[in-house]
Amino acid sequence: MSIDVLVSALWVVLEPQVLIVVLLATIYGLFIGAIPGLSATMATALLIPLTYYMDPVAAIAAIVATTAMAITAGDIPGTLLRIPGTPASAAYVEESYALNLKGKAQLAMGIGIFFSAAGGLVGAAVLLFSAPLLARASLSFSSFEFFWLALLGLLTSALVSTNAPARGLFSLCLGLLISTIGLDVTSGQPRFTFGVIDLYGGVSFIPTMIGMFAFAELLRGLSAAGTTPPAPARDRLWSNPFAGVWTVFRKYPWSFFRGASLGSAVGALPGVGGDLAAWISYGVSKRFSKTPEKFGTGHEEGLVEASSSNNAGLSSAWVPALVFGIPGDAVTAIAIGVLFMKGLNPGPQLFVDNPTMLTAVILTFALANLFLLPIGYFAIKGARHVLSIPRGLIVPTILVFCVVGSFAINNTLFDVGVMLVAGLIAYLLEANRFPLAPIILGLVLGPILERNFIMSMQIADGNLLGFFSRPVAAGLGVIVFAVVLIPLMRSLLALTTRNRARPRRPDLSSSN
Amino acid sequence: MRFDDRIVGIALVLLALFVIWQGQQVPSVPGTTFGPSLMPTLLGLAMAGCGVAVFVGGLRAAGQVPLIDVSVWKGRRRGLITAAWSILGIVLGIALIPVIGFPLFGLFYAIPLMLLMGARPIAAVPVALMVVLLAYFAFKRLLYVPLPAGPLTFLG
Repeated sequence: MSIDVLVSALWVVLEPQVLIVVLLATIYGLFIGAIPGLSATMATALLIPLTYYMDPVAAIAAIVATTAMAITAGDIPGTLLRIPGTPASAAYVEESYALNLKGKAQLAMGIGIFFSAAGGLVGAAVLLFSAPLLARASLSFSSFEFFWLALLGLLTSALVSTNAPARGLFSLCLGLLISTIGLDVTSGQPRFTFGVIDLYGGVSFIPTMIGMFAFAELLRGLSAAGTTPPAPARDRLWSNPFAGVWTVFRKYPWSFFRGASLGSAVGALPGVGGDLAAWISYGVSKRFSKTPEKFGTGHEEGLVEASSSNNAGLSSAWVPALVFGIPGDAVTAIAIGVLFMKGLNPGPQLFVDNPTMLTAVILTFALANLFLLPIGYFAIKGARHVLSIPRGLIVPTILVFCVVGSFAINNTLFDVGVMLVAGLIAYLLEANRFPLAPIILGLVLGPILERNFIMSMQIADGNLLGFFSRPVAAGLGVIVFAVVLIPLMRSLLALTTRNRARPRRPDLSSSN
Repeated sequence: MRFDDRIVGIALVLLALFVIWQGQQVPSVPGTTFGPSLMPTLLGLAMAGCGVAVFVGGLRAAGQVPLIDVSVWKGRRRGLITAAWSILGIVLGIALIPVIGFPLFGLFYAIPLMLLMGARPIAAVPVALMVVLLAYFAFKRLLYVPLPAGPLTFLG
């Protein structure tokens, strides 16, 4: 990447439109993230109809800023109410709540926001420097490598991020299946349309997303499976929310660096994404700590490491998304879908064709993380107010926006129906322990996987060994097989040992 | 609402069989070996495999869990009614929005939801009015989405 590109990208990012979008998206992400039960993915899904009308850089900036803030703000209800706002905050919710009980709620939230921003900046730097290098290396990739990469990303998300591989795999197949609905791009034949004209263009991605991540989540919230937050306790008015954070940084600098680097590394793995990074980092921090017995009792060390890791992983999850067009989690999948809709096909070629735009996209990560500090300052001060907005007013408001947002993409009520059906299916699937993220990854990556698969099959003339004919493809193929076989063997091993030890005794917690 | 894994497994296998059957109906393109029916067929096979795995897992837990578990909704009559209205309201909306327009639908949908979820009428009505008008004007005026106005033509 040349300096010229960096400078021109910086100008793109500093345009007033982008700055205003980032500011508004950060505030929006704060509200959604701070309200328990509303996730960062939901925030992103509801935002997409608006990004449809923005320039690509502003659209991605909006998504990045919303997610970064929503995940960071998820620490607020975690600290005050012991209800993690987002899955990523769940890793250290006990720790931050214990700090709250010790009367250090402000410090816990200050650590969360400061180290999230700092970790996010490290992740953005990793993305800025590694993405163009990786893209250059992957310019010579053929359909074989892309097929394996897409499959690797999909299978990792389906098998690794859940403890029930069969369910993860089914979710993935369902997403891929939905992506085949409509006219087949290569042959022009309709598939699974059942004569419905509205389905010929395929199932719209945005209404599906809104249904699965917003509508289904709200339905779940109405049942006992949802959480009803208690009213936050009132105590003294807080002064400077970041007081004491610098002392913590000087005390645990290694925790920060370890968290940020581990988060960047884990997040960049295709199909893994940022959520897992926080869990791994918290565990690592405990293992390397001089005082592991203090973990869980309101100790800052694990909090520093996990929240740095959290946002670092969030940024680096975009490495596979931007370089190969293979998103790592639901949010990057949504963003890749947005880029596709704008006619930009993420992948190594985009780094050659339009390096300024891509660098600008990456710089928005740094911008979004910088915005976390001032907005986070006010967030901590106003945390109680956000939490005290009655749920009875918020949920119906979101439902109204679900309807408008689904309508807005194609200006058709059919898409509102798609949203409703997707929401009901997602509710049933989630209640029956099927993960939702692989569906979205399958939906977005389906066309890429199918195109590269059919093309590779044609080139290899149906000979499956052809998929291993190039060195990188062969390496990737072996990794894919390992990803599939390891959990399978583990399940079988667990099954045989259990059967031998305790015949005919069912174990409900086992994976299947 | 949770089902016994045996039921889930059977449902998945049936769906998979339907997918394979439908996949076979897609005509292939002359001159190509690998056509548009390949992917659906492979997906169907994989889904059937997942269905069998879930079913087998369910056999091990047979009798331990109810066939259909609705305990998360038990004692939640109000929640259930709210959920029912949130679904039914949208179904009605799809039919009625072209006639009554979006603003009226929004109020007719959101106010009962707010009341069912425990908001006081004095808060629900003005908040719903604000939300619906905000959504309407933001999407119609700023984003040029042709949301139907219905009889309230003066809203533009």
